[in-house]
Amino acid sequence: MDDIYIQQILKGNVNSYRYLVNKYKNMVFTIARDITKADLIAEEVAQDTFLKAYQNLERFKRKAKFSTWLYKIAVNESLRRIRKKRLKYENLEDLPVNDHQIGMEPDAIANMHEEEQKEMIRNILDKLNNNESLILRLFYLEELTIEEISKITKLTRNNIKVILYRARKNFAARVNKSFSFIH
Amino acid sequence: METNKIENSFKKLIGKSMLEPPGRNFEDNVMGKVVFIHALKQKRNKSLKLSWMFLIISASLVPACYLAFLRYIDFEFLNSLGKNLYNSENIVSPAILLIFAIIILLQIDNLLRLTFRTSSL
Repeated sequence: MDDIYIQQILKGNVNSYRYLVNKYKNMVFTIARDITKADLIAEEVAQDTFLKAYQNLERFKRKAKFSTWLYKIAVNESLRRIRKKRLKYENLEDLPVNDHQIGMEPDAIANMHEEEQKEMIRNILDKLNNNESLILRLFYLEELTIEEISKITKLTRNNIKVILYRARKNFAARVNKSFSFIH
Repeated sequence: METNKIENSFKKLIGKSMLEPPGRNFEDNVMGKVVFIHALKQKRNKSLKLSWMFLIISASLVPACYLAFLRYIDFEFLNSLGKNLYNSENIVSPAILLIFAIIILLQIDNLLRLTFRTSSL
């Protein structure tokens, strides 16, 4: 479906781009928010990402999915902005390894209201390291493969597996902690 | 079995974590800028086409006119105005042709740069 709209845009129908903006704006913003951890900067990054993607659409090779290409731009733009604003970005090496077992109590969370659930999950992801929340979201929310995540983040597959493992543990620990705090 | 259950729990929970841009007019803002860039690009493309056209015309017409001018020019009349300054040898001097060639090459270089810069916009 994206291909049809991309063809239209390349033919000069600029309004077709609205479809792509509408489809991917939330995920692009989410990626930018995960890395920058700031709403306003993430929104600027998301806008810049769409503008950059539009300006370089002719260079987009159809080998990969449009979303993978767009998310890669979003990650690069976010990192560029972080460097520019000198915001904190935690690398893989900086992460402490926790010894929690991966185990959650999702049934207990299921009893919460939808909005409460969303708020709690967003807060937990917000507290995770930039890499962890980004990779968790790309893997579970966008259901991307390790290979695709590797292309987007430029991390090796082994690195991604390690981060994903730690992220799952940290996320589960925080979910359990929040649940025990609530009750 | 247990792993699948945990994986499904992650999928279910993180599936609820999608964020939305806080600005209400995000889409309109982006599209406004995209339309502006598109219009700018079209305007530049038009100007570039005209520039290339005029360059090609001038590169071919100017030497042709110059040669025609030399063929039909009345050197005797010109020389009557001064001290025998004009003849076909000093008018078609290599220096004049070299200057003309340099100007054309510089223009081609500038236009090529502009063309490639515009296509990456």
